[in-house]
Amino acid sequence: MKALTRPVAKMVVAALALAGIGVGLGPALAAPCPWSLTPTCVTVTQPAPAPGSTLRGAVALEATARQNDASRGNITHVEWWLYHPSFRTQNPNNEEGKVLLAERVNQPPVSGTLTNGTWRATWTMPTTRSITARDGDYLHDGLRTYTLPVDGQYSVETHVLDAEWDRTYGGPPGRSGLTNVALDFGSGGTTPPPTPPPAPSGTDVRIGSASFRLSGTNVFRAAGTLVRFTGTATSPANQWGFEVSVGGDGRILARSAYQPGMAIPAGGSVLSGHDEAASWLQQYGVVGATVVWPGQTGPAPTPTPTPTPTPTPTTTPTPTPTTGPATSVTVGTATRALSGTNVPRQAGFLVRFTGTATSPANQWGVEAAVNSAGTVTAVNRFQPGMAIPAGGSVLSGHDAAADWLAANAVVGSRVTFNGAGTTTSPTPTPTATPTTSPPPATGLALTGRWTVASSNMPLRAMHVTQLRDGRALLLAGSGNDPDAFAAGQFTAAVWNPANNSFLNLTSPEDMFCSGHATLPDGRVLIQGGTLSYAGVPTGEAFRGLKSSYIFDPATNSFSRTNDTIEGHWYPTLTKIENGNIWAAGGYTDKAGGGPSLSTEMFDVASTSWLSAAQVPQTNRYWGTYPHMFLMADRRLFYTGGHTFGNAQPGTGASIYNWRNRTVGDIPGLRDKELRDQAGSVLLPPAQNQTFMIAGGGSTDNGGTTNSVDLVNLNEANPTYRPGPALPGPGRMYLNLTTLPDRSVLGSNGGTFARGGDLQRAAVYNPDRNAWSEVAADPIGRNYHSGSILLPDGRVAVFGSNPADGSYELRISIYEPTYLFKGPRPTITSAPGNATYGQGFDLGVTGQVTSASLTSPGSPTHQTDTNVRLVDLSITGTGTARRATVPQNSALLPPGPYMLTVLDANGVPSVASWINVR
Amino acid sequence: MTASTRTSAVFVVAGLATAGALLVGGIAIGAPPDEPPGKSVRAEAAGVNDGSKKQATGVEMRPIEPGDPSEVMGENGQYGGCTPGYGEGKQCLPPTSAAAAAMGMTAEQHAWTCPDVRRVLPDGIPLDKKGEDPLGLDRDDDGVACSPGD
Repeated sequence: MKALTRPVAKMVVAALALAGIGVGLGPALAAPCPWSLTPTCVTVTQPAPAPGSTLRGAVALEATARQNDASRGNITHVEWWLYHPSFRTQNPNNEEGKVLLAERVNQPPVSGTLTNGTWRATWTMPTTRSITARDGDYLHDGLRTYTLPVDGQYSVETHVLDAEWDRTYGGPPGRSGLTNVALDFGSGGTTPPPTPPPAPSGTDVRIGSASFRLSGTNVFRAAGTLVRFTGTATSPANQWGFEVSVGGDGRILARSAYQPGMAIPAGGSVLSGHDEAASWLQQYGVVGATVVWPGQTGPAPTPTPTPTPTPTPTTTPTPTPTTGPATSVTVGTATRALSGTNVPRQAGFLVRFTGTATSPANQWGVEAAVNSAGTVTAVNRFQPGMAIPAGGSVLSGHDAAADWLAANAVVGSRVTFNGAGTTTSPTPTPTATPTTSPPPATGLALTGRWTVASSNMPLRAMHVTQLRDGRALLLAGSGNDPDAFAAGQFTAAVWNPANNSFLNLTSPEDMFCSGHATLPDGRVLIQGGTLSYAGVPTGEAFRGLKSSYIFDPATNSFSRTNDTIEGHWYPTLTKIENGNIWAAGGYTDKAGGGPSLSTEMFDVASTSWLSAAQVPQTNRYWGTYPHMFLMADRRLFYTGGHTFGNAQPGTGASIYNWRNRTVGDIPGLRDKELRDQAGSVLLPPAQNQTFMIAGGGSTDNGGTTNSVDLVNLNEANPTYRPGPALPGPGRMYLNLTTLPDRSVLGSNGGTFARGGDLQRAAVYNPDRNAWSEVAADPIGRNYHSGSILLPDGRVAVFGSNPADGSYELRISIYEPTYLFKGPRPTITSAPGNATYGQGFDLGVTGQVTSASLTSPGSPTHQTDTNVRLVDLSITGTGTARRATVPQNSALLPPGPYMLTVLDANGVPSVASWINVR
Repeated sequence: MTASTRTSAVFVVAGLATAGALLVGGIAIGAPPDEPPGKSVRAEAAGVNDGSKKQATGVEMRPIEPGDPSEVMGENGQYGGCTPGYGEGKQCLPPTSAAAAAMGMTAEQHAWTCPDVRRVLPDGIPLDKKGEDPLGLDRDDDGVACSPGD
């Protein structure tokens, strides 16, 4: 789309969106520019730096660019990149090994036209041999710092983007080719001084040297737009974007990622971006940066007038200030915008209450009492109405503001209220706002390593089960291929990760969309699958099989059991304390399809499914692949996660006692309508009975979330509480893998149904309650992907089934960080069997500090309810230890487990298989 | 961000996260940021290991009600999360376009336009049955929604 037509189109989009009609951005006016190292859409030359030149001091950069396809529009970005092989080593996610030296975004050329001109910039060589800049790690926002090596080959290349690229991201229109240069780290230089940052154009907002078009003030935030909201309430935008609050002095006070309605600071505004505008804002809108509004010429503008908001979707609180309208508050070293003083504490608000009574807020938040000397004297979590100290105030936060308060306000913290009417207005100290660690700069011990297995899978394996012999069962059935379904070609295979070989098998029926679990003897129970295939013929819906099979790894064969009460397509199979398998959910076998309402129970003793008369029936529909876990008290816990469909009624999460047909609500789950294809996991160690639900979306209605909620069922009144958000935007199809060092890997996913792949990965540390980003899976994976922990401590990730119907046959292998932290402890002797409540001798090497049992993974559709890591108490020293298996079989149902020991450096051993009975 | 401020940021983040852990019972806190999780993540073994621990005792358990399954089912799960009528079971037209999905829960379903379709499926998507085009995306009636002629 041409740049000149884009604003018009966006206004149309905005108008349509306001009317509730979702639309795209209009038709493509030009063919996409193919991804290539020698693109031809725009011809680019780079006169400076010259080949073989030595860069020092202020370095002149120059590029000429000519648009070869007029329909693609103006040249919008000219970027000069510095390449060095070391950059990729320092950050494995920087796949191209480049850092940005300078750019001109939507700037006119110094000569020529916007379609055929010359652009110049200046980069000043750092004297510290380090550079902090944007890089080629497009999966992680923000700036990163790189060391500039004294050796190795540097190159500079100009990249040029145009209006069509802005709209479609369709390939790089032009690049100059690499020019090899040398860097002189000595002092001095004779080239001209750096060009000062350009003033923003009449419609652009500028932060630092970057600018972006502002679509308007108090207008609807349409797709891809950047909007400013002013007034006294909150931004009316939904959660699908990035926002920053800007004080009256133009400084950014706080950031809000993918949350609805950020509070607008008094006298200030909220800058709100969607899609590419959100990315831009996330990259440049750091706390403490100064926003230059359209038409302003300097970085220190006077406060801007506050027009009346046009859309006012939320109630406007009526402030009754008693001590002056502070606009932000600093607690310790962290600063956050205040939503107001003595105003109702709405969702996400941080409010100051003064007076002589108590805070009027309800219990759904965190509050801190601040005395007249500005010191925190008490902190209340999830308690109603905190007492206000004489002459002081109560800071009261909800949702993200509660998290912020909980993180920063401890007794004794210093509190300063900033803004008009206050006597002390220190310069806000920029603080890190995300709840995740930044991407590691270097070192496999911090990032881990991804590789791709040398052989591809021979089948479209939507179902994976770790076998007790170290191999993995891969089930495809029809593999989501109607032709295979029609032909009755149903496949399975066993993968041996030791030599990356595959044993091809025939699946006796279409096990596509079945459920599976590992039986106490290590065989695999598979129930359900595809009885009828949607669309074959037209109008048909998916229906589920009643049949079940047991796969025996000793013979690599399937044997059929009796049928279940009802068919199931998308059932969940959860092993309970006696080794029996509870199953429910999915779609029935009955004509016309519909929900499968039967509660099933596989009886291990008789190796058969029980009849309806033998299992308490409820006719409750638990949805498709309900995330139903076994609790330590033998009840079941539904986390709120599922595949397709909507949330369960009520709070969306519940405890379910299948024996007496009762259910109890678990409150607090956020985004409960966005937990379709979320990830759910019982955090390690299982004794703590803390469950996590992470990410998810809505296939039917759109939208994804990056929110993470945690609940501890050992509490008397458990409630979901906010955890640290997943790094990056919201995603469905997150693969969670429990690791033997008692952390959880979160990898892969998509930002919309069957697309928008996110390759980034992070590890959740239950101890710190934080994610740390690690290296990214080189392969994007969304629907029908899954992951398992291998006995040697690596992680295997399988599959992806995007909307075009293709299937990813490559297997990614992740070697976690603990495999790069030195020698591993070993298990030199362990029994093959263990008994509940009994001890066993364990021979080890290394400085072993703990031992654990991890059940084998059996994921499909982001559902793997039987995975758990159970802590074993150990005694002894040196190489001779004794471990004890807990008595409670509901903590670890009978079956094969991977026994590992962990050393003082957090390095686990290779697992030894042990049967618990 | 300089190297030194970056280090500070790591500690600030770690500090936030550690304090955040206080919100979740049962998780030990206090490890320094770089400490491996296995070193300090301890099990609340008492009572859970032997099965005597009473969980969620304050949660009121009530007789389960069947409810209305259609509220949970949604509209497209039975079709594999795809819009019925398209893709011949091989390709999938999700219920919401990527552009509409980004608007999240506010967009009208099936708000597909051909440019949106082509971003995901460059060559369009076949109709399950020629002539049956629920979303009106096959204007040239060649049996392929959003083919080059549409």
